[in-house]
Amino acid sequence: MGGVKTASQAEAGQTADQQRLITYAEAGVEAVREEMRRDPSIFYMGQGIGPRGGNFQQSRGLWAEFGGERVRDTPIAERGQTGLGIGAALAGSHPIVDIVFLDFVLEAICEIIQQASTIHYISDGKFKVPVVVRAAGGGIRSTGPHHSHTFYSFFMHIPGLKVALPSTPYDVKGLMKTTLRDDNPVIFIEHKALYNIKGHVPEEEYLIPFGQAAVRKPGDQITLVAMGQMVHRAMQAAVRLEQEGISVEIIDPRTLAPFDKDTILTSVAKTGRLVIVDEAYAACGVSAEIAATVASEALYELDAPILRICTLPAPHAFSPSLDNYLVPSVDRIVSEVAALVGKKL
Amino acid sequence: MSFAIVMPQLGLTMEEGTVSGWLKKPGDVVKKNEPLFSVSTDKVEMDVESAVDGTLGKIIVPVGETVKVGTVLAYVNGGDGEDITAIGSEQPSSEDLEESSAPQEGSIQPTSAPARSVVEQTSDRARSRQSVSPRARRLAKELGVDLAAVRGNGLDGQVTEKDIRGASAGPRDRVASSDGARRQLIAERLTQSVQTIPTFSVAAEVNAENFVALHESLKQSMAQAGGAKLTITDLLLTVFAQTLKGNSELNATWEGNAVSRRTSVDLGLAVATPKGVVAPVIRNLGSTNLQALVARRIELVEKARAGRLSLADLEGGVGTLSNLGMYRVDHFQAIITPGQSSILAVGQIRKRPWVSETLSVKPTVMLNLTVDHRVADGAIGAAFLSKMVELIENPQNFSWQSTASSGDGAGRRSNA
Amino acid sequence: MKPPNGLATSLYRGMVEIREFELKAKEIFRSGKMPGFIHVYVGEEAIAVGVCANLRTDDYVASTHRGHGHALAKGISARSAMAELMGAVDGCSGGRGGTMHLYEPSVGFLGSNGVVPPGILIGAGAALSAKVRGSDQVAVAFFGDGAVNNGAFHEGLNLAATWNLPVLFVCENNLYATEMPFEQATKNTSVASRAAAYKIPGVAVDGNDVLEVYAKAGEAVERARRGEGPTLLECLTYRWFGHHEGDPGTSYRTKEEVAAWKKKDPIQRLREKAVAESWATAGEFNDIDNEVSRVIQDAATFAVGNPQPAVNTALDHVFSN
Repeated sequence: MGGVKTASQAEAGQTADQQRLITYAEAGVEAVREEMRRDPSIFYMGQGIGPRGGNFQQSRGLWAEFGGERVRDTPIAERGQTGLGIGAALAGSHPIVDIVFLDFVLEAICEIIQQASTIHYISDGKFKVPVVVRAAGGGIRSTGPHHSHTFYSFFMHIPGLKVALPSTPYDVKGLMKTTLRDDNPVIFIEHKALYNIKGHVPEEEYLIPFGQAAVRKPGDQITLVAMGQMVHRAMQAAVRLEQEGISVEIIDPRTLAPFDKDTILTSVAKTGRLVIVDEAYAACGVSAEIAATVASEALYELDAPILRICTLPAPHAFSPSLDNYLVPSVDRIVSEVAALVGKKL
Repeated sequence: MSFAIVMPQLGLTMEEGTVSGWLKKPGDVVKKNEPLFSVSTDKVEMDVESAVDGTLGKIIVPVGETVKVGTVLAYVNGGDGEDITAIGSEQPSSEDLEESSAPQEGSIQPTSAPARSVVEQTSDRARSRQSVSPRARRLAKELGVDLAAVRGNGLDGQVTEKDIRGASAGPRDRVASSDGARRQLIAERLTQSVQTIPTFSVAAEVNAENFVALHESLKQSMAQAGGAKLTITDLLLTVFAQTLKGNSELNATWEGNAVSRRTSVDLGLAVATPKGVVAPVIRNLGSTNLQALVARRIELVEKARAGRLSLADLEGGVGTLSNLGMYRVDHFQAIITPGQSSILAVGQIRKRPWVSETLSVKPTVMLNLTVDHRVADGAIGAAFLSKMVELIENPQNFSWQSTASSGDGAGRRSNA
Repeated sequence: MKPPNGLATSLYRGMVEIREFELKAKEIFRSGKMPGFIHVYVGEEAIAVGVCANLRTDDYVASTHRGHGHALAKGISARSAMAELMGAVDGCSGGRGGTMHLYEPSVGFLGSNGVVPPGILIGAGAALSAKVRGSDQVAVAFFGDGAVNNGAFHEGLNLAATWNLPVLFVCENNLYATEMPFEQATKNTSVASRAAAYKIPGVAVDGNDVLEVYAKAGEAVERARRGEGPTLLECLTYRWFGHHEGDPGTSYRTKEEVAAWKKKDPIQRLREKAVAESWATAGEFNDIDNEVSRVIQDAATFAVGNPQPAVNTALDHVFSN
């Protein structure tokens, strides 16, 4: 999963010589480090994020620089961690609560939805809740049924939460910095299969605003919306599709709340066809939300039914054969997208 | 008992027609002689009345479809309580065939073929509704493309954008709306004319001073006699007709491979209508007096503008008069109506410099006569035009018949 | 031991304000004018008042669904609280929270709460923030007997103990969680003893003796402020009325039990003792009664007449901009 060329370079507007290539994990660390230097109210807690530097090296070096008060390991107590993070946010801190594996956010979901998402509203704007819940979702190499989930639709569903979903190192840094300057609760979902991919990341400061999708690849026949790891699989599929004369435009929303629907609507007006590739399940997922939005706001642009390519509805099987079958693969993306325009691939 | 509604033969040469509208819905009561549907052909568009009383059954040939003369379009249920949903499948079921093995009086025997079930038909209808993508539907509306005429090449035969764009660019195999039908007709006929008739034109500028004076005086006397308003066009028609009457060469058309001469003079008059130009024919102009001509002209123009011309109204002219003198047009050249051999194009009567011995200012008019060269050569055409010019410049040499003014006005002298 | 001058009357006033507020709230609720449903604190006033009397304005309190007492004791005005109970625009949460979501940052009130254990975590979290910031603020997390068998109790106390957070965990053990008697919810009916599992001090007090609550809470607060970490304070008490307005509270409790606890009314006990010990006179207490009565009446009139928030603000504050 290395070195997939994305729009990073174009986004940064610099030549390859001028930009560094760093990993997705390093980009995240860089962002957190810079923000912790800038803002003393930020502190970081989670399991294994202290001296160990995080299960995915996502907090490497922070404990050494900032010490144990501001970078603290926690016991296995996701609800406690998150609840305390919220309380600390109410008292003026800006904590990052690292859940590590997104699956375990379910232990904390009551605090996130019942407390974090509501307090600013129900206190009539008197209390801000600047807490970040960070975790890595998605599967890699048979992480299996309890370590592979992509739960972002739960959070996109709830008013009062922001959801970031970076798919490239460039995005991780830009979005994390924006996150740590936002006074709202943010669910920052990375993908464990992407931590080691490298991308061009400027050294200079930049922020990526929420609600701004990225067009990863322009095209004119089919609009394809993909998230997280699926962006990379879609890019690979697009190469093969292009060879067959099928031109796909790939859009990466980058944040789910706020959500940039305009980029997608504009694209669909051009292409007339929409495909959504999502590693989460189809039922009530982000793919359903995007499909409903487009069907409702751009029905008369559609020249074909909306196609959703998602993980098939079964728990994440361990066996590699089943895992590769259930989760959308490059092959499945190629063949289903081609079928949309009547080609058999 | 059910009565078959078929595509009627609306003219001698008609082979097929397009249903351009159904004036009743299935289940509606239909009365004999009440207009039931409308048909458009390459010559005409008209309503067709029902020949029977009853209830309209299912419509088999919908609006926009072109079928051969005699094709069953629908059935009218004889009103004896028969289930109308059973009647009106494209072809009768084998049961029907067994029951009505002998042809019944008053009905047209349908050809045999297995019926399709109602479910199949419903799903066909449903499928045909669903098989147009929303984008294609919107585009079709924007571009004025008739969906019924577009074949779908998308998945499962769906009509997609590509098909609509293709249809709006390329030729159509069906004519659906009557507006489209009219333009299509005109396009086909004029193309045919230009492509098949070798023409030449002769033109002249004519001193219209006396003609205008004649018109004024005749107009007044006819009005006093309680007649309709006489126009310059009426007089021009008379000029054209009279010249044809005395010129057997141009009172002829090219038919098959030979010149075919006529006895009476029938001329078309070009009329602009909202749906395009038509040229109804006024018959027997050689022996029509001015009063009758005016009445006939008014009648035909009104019919033309209301879209109620019959085939007979349009057929059989030998030439056409096209007067654009109400516009600021000095002269123009027109296209011969297929089946005819000449067309006279008349511009605006305006004061222009006129040289006889000296330079003066006279009201003049420009005539342009286009002639089918297979029927007549240049000299014939030139001579014909010269005769018309003479008649216009010196109208006193002709007796312009006017019922109220037998004896006064312009006088009467018989003209050979 | 004689309490400092004015303490008795100040504690008395605090408790009477809560008592009168709750009785007035019940009255308005019964009249059908109050939306939602309320959980009144009558009988438990000594705990809120005794604990909060030890706190600074900038100390934190995280409360429960039965939180009017904590709110008033921490410094939210009766008007502001009563208006909030009515869902009215001048309530402390702008009418958006209601009884179980009273918020007031200016007095460190981190919210009453509709969910049972989160107050424990929020209180501990505020203490964590103070510690990371290097401030000497402390936090108090109130909760009932119903919370102590929940995972959040364990996670919260463990984290607070491990990190030595400046938080006081106050369990208001009124013997019933809704209709479930505490002894049926757990084998270990001593809340204070649970502190040993986290190696923090666990203290049990008579929750209806405001002076005892005041003293023990004070010790814990000082400990926390000195950086010596959390304390678990179990206050044994009783609610006079049902779990919420509409629950008579008699289907799972005996009349005799209720009557017996009413005799231990914390307000009466303080008054009697204070008069007997000459810490204050009956007249002073009467004056307080009258003054509070006026305050509460004023709050009620204000709240009932206060308008609802305008609907064009319905989507405000979903996010902080």
